[in-house]
Amino acid sequence: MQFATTTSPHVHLGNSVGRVMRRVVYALLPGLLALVWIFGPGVLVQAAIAVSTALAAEALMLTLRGKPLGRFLGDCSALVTALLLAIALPPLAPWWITVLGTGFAIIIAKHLYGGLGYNPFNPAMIGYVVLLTSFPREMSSWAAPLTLHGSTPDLATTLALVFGERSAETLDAVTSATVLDLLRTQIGLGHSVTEVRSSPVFGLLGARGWEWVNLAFLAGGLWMCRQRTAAWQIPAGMLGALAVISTLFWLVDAARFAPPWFHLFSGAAIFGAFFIATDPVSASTTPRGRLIYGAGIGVLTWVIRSVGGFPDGVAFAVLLMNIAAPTIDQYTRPRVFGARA
Amino acid sequence: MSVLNTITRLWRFHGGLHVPEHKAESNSAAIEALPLPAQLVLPLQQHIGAAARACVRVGERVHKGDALARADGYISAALHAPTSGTVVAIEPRPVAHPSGIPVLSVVLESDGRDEWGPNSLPTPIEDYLRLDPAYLRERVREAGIVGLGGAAFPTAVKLNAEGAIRVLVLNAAECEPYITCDDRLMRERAHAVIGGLLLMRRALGVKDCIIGIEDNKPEAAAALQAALEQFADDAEDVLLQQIPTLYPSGSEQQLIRVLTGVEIGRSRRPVDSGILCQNVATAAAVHDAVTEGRPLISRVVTVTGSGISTPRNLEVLIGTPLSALIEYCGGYTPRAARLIIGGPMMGLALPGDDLPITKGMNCVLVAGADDVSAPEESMPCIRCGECMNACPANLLPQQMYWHARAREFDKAQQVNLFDCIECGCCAAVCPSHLPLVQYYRFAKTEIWAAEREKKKAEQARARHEFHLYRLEREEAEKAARLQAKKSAAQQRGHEAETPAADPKQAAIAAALARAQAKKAAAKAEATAGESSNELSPEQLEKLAAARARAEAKRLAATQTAGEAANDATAALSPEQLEKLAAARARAEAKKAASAPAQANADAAPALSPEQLEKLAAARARAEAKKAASAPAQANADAAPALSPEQLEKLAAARARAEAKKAASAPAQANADAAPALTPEQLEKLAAARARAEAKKAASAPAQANADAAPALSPEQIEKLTAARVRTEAKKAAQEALAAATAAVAALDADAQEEAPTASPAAEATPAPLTEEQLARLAAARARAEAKKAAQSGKPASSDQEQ
Amino acid sequence: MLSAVFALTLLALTFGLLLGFASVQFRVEGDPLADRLDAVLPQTQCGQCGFPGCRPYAEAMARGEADFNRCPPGGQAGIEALAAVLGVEPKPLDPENGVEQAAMIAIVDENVCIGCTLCLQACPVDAILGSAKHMHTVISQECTGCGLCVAPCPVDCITLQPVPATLATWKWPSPLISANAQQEPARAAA
Ligand code: SF4
Ligand code: SF4
Ligand code: SF4
Repeated sequence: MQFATTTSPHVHLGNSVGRVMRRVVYALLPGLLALVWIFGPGVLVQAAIAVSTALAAEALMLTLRGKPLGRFLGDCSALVTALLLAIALPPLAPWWITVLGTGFAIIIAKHLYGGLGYNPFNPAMIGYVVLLTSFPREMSSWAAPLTLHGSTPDLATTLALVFGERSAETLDAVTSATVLDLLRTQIGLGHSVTEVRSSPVFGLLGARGWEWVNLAFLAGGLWMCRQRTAAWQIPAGMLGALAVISTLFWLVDAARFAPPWFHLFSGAAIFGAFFIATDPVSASTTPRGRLIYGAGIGVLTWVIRSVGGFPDGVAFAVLLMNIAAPTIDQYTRPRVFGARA
Repeated sequence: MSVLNTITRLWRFHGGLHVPEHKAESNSAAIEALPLPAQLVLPLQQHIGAAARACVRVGERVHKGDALARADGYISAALHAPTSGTVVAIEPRPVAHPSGIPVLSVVLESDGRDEWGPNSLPTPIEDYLRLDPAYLRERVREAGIVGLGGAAFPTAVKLNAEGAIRVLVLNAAECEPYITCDDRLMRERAHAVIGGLLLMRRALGVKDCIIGIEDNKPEAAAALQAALEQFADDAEDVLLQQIPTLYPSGSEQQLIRVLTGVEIGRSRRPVDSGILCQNVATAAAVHDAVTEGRPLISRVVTVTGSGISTPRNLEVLIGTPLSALIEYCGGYTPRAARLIIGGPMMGLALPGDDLPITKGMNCVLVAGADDVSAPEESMPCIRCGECMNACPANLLPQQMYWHARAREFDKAQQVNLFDCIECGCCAAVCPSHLPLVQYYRFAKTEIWAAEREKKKAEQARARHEFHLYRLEREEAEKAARLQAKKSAAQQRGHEAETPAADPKQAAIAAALARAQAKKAAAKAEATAGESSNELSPEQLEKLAAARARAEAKRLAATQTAGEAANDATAALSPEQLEKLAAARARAEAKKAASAPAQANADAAPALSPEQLEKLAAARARAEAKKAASAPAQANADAAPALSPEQLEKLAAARARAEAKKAASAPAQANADAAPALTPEQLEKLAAARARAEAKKAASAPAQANADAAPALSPEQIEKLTAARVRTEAKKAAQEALAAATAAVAALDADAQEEAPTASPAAEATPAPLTEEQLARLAAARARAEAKKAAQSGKPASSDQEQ
Repeated sequence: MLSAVFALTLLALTFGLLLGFASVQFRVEGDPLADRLDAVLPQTQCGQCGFPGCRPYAEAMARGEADFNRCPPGGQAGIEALAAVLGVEPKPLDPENGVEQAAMIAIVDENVCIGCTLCLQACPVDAILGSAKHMHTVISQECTGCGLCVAPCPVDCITLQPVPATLATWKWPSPLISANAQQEPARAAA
């Protein structure tokens, strides 16, 4: 009798790339639902566009690179990239924005760097940043939250806005500036944080409506950490560092700097901490390295939000720390078993 | 205070996995003895260290328990006949190794009687716990016991750490899934296990023992506890400690960590920390070896998995074919998909079951297709870090993987590749299904190979440098020789003009003729006979060559050197020729029948005809050895496990005896050719030869026997080197004189032969560098300085002579 | 203003001195280039590079008179090592010098050997043992497999054979290579 010879170990505990990626998708669901509830179905429309673009682009690139389609499409990594980008985009952004961003993320940021496992930067964030720098106007008009307007745009309006002609009036009726934007412009005009925060767009903790979305993301993220799909060190490091640095400055000058809970619960802080920064391929890989990497993102986010030129800094912070990840890994190797401390 | 009192808690190691245990399949099956197989194959290398040296001959009948092979070197283990029968072959056979390279094995055909020999068992010892530790260790060494947990490291070597050990750990964890042989052994023979533990404790001179057993084996733990109580006071300071079930807590390093908190890494051996780990099956084997005198000839093997009809635990003789185990357990089921030796995490998958059981095999796992992971297509690494979380050595498997894959082996080493214990945790959790462990093994073997190559290149460089230096020196010496010749010729007048103008040319021509002669040996002899009447130098040359060959073969056929010395003096007569022919026939016959031992083979120096002939005799024997490819011969002498030094002394002593004989042989014409050789010089040359021959024997793979041992040790090589240098020095010193004498004795036929021999012979002796010379050469490559170095180097090396 | 200029000048001077001191004090005494090149050559001494041994080739390379892709025994790995020493990009082996092949060892057929000592003189590392008119043999540990002894043998009794693999020298194949034939290699080996 002849048997196959493979190397040990001969058992595998059943983990797979597809399973890891699917878990990320599950963890995104609560946040996605919250987004729909607060901002209307726009995010679903964006997700649909992004996912179909991503799968098409992925299939195209895999074919061009001569990789087996079934195996690599089945890993769901393109799906995750597409969803992350769709969530980051304004729900009412025109369709070509989404297509462009997703295509760029998959084709350039992922496959031209070698595909799954080889991309040094988070593809979704590359797509987002490219859009943000190229189309700042489209990228900063967010749908107004439910709590502000009392209603969200229905599906028809959404579809019309996404795919149809975008007149300034209809747009203005359903969108509002994001809180971080508002904060920046107002502080730039000399108002104090407290003054600005009395604006109706602000809610209890951060931006009105956003608290709920962020809490949903937090729930999904914590579940993911529990499942060990994401390394807990990265969100812990990032949110911890963000909290510490914002508290420090807020204590020093509460008029110029927003309080820590505001930083944590508005914008993409929580979403970024759990879902963007934890992308394993481009993050640091050692336990201590991940804490440092997360902390770096936290600090950079605060810096960009407070003194930089863009309203939210998570995307840039993540990309900047991606660059530093290999170096961090190099200097944070764990002590090997038996090695003298 | 006992160290045990300080152990108040268990420790953790990083990572580890909960792998489905699958112990239930076989842990209720009591150990059964497998019926005697018809044939056993016993590889000489079943352990870590040097392969054992066979000490039986093909065709020899052995009893159960007789030694088949002896430990060869310090780290090696003896091998015993698992049953009575006949040795039918000693030849390379496939073993369970990923390479599939066959290993020299003793094939034993069972006679079905399974009887112990009168001498195979040393006397059993009743009061074994009061034995002298040194005697105990000797007993363990003689019994050929190796670590039975899988690594197969010779146990006696580990027990030699007397005094350095504070705590002896008995590894009863058996953490690999499926395997239950230790579990069963503890349940059924707990007394022997504890007895063995106490014996090893005594051999090591330690007081404190900890038995570490995973908490999934409560029955075994209870049995051990009961046995401990039986031993009562004798088993004081033995702590039975249950530990949580977590793979790989049965790995030595991890077990010691869990029990004592001490981490033993690559930089710190267990002994350095004063902790030694032994497996339970090893303990039982030690017990049997001491109390019954029973060598390690069988072991318990678990046969399990869904690919086998009835999983069982079997007591199996070493050397039994796997197929016999499979058959006894009801054969394969249709689900059988992979045959694994060892457990599913670290085991080795075999292509088929026609391989023998060796000492280190604890389990034969026939896995069904759904028990094992299919050789799945792997995805790229997504750097998820799962592998890092699982790694019990706290490594970064992912970074090791990237470097190994890119063949950046130095970087792989920087991320501590060699701390990897190949436990397989990383690959078992990798979402990308990467064959991580194979990458590590690949990288490790590549690094070792590169190191070997580097060493070899360095050696070659040194030898080449010496080669160049030697050529230069010889050039100078040749000039000196010519000078001497010229003056000798002037002194002796016209007589000197008769010898062949170019002895070397003549030698080559003659040699060519001999090559042809080989193709028609009878014809060559006839030619030689005719030639004896003529005195043309060329033909004399041929004649002498033929004679030398004949004599050599004759020597090979005769047993005593004394006879040889006498024969060598005989003149060439028709009867003699006949005798030679007869001798040749005998030699051929012997060759075919694998000649008996003539360990004095190695004692043939180079210069006098007798010695040349003896060298030829050595060659004949070497040929014989090869022809038979049987390792048995030289062992006859070497059997009592001679240490390398002893072998060397033996060779030297023989050489001395021969040299004396040669020196006292009746004077004849050709004695002139080597006039300056004193008996001591001859002796030294002989010793050098002996070593060279030994070395050569080592390089012939078919002769993994006595000769191989000394040749492999570095000191041996060094000594050989020194001897060669000495030989060279002596020859060089005599050469001018020899040449002159040869010229004088030009009309003498035998001298005629010798003259051309002398100079090539000098060149013939390779002379690598002594360390001292190496240093000198490195310091100054320039020719003048090299010469100087040689001049001062020569006396220095002769000082080293004993 | 003046003080700033002064401070900067002072700083520049201090650092300049420090750097100069360091470069003198901590200079790494590198081996001559030829030595470093020789160190990565395989020392087979076969002459395929067109030089009488590895050392002369290393010296020629160090003088810039020979290209670094001429050593077949070193193979591509050797060329890469040389390129690293020379600080240039590796290139493929020059086929004019030969092809890369597995390590070899010379074997004397001792039944045919006539003891002419010609091979012995050809061996660059004195790895052949024997004396006139008597069987010669090769010390396998010391043979570099250069093949220089093959041609001089008048009776053609020397052959080069690949060094046989043993359990101790066997190497695990890279999974990258065996991935192509997932189950096949071990079966073939068995
Ligand atoms: S578990 Fe596999 S995929 Fe994850 S980091 Fe390790 S090697 Fe890469
Ligand atoms: S095989 Fe090596 S790297 Fe992998 S988990 Fe085990 S010790 Fe760590
Ligand atoms: S080709 Fe031969 S002689 Fe030349 S460098 Fe390479 S190994 Fe040395």
